[in-house]
Amino acid sequence: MPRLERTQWYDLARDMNWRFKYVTEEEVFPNQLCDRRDIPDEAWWKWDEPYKISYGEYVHNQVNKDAGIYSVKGATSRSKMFEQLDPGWKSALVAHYGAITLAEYQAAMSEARMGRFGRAAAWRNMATYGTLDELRHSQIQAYFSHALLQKEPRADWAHKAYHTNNWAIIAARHLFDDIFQANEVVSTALQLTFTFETGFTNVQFLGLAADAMNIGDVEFGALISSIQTDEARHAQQGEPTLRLLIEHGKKDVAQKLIDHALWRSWRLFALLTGPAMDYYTPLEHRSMSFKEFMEEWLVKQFLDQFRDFGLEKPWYWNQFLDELNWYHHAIHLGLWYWRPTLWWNPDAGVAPEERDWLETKYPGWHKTFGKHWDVISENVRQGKREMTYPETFPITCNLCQIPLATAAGHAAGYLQSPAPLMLNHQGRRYVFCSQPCKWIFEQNIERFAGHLSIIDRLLTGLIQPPTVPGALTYMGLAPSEYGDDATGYTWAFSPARVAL
Amino acid sequence: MATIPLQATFEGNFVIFLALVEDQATTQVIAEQLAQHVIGRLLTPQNGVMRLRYNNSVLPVDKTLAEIGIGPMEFVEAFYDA
Repeated sequence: MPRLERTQWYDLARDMNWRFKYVTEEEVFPNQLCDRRDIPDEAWWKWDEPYKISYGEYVHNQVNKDAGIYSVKGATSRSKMFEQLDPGWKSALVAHYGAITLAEYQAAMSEARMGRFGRAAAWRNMATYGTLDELRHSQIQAYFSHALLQKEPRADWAHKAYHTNNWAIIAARHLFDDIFQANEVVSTALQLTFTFETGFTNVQFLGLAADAMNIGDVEFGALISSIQTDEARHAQQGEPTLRLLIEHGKKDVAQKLIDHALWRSWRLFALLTGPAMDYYTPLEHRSMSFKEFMEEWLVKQFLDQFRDFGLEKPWYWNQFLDELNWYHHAIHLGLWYWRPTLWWNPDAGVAPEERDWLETKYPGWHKTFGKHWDVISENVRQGKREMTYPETFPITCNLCQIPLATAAGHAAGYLQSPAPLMLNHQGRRYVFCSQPCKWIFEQNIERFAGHLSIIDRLLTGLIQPPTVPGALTYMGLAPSEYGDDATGYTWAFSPARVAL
Repeated sequence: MATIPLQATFEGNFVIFLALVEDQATTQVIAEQLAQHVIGRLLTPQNGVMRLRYNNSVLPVDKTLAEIGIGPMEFVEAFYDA
């Protein structure tokens, strides 16, 4: 019997919206889980996904994808490929697996919420595939990293990280709890699928995949580019949701949700992807700088989508463009300086030829950041390793949970003052790294005000003893897991450079 | 006499850090304590007296935080006064 083409039956099969007779719309789709924002229920039924797929096709495609990457894995696991990888690159992998694996599971829960409470059947279908995608992503990244355990014990953080109070994971969880977990579905479609996934994940998953292929890490390159093919499909839930909001006069609502998520996503990607691309990836294999990747994927491609919808650039856009020149360099320096707090070994990435590359890609790097690395490398050469470790903690932002790098922005000439931004609310002082972080906090104070940053926890006695070792234990790190320089400080034993 | 937390940095540094200081200490002493975290670790030592800046004002060297009224989690910046 001849089979019908998908286009001949798809619209009928996905039209599973109906008017409820025995219960109310509100009972089935509570506004707390699906904030309709006064858009009529049946208007949501027009939700239309750009990329259509049947379940049979989905299964067929996904089986082929998994067969592809598992066969690559099968071949590489029998080789010495991992052992021979550059140590800085290995650190990028360990950092990635720790930060991302269980975030994918959070995303699965978020997709599942859209799968139940999305207000159109077509949306619920796409979100169901999205749930399966994110389960796949959490499982394959857990599986790939699990297979590395014999060679790299801290691959364990792929599973462990999100169950700890590591400061970087507090930052990741705060973001993902905000835009994935504790979010109704319309906001999730705009913040997770449209902003975070369409805007940013390409930088980590395709940009880093390009570097991986250059390096010869076919296993990781194949893994994350395969993951991203799923992303391209389920990230499409954002567009039709955005269209509906705009058609019904809710452009301001959409703009605010996107502005909020874009800034928060930028903060996390600057922490994770910035150092990986500009410092951990071996110099000869860097396809582009982090700034260049961001300019391609976010400034150019994502911004085009903004314009197509008639959205404005976020109000902080100029600040964001400025930060592409300095922010992740400050974060990298902080990650390295506070390296015992990490579950990976950061690669300083400041050998003379690497510094020259940084100066070429980021004019002024020597003046703003090279001066710090000069002092650090001199201490290393003099055998004063203890002077390269901190004796206190950085102040962390009460929104993004990341150390305040305002001093670097001021030193680099982009901020008028190094001072933190502050807010006093109900007898408590909150501090922020930037105007956008403070703005996000103030838009929804009661949502965020109860959270304690890692510094708040220290100051209120939750971390005992309140010392550096006590904090490391609180963060889930055993001494054998403390981060250290990826290359054994060899970069310091080259002729010292004078900051230009 | 109380130990209070401050948000602090040294001019030219890259990050704001937590400093636990005595509120009866003079600003000169505080400036030197803040310098311990930065000078010789992240910035090259220089000649010059260390001073403290708060709310864009340079603080008198012989006054204490308590006398000036600087409380917990205020922001101060140490610097070399050439």
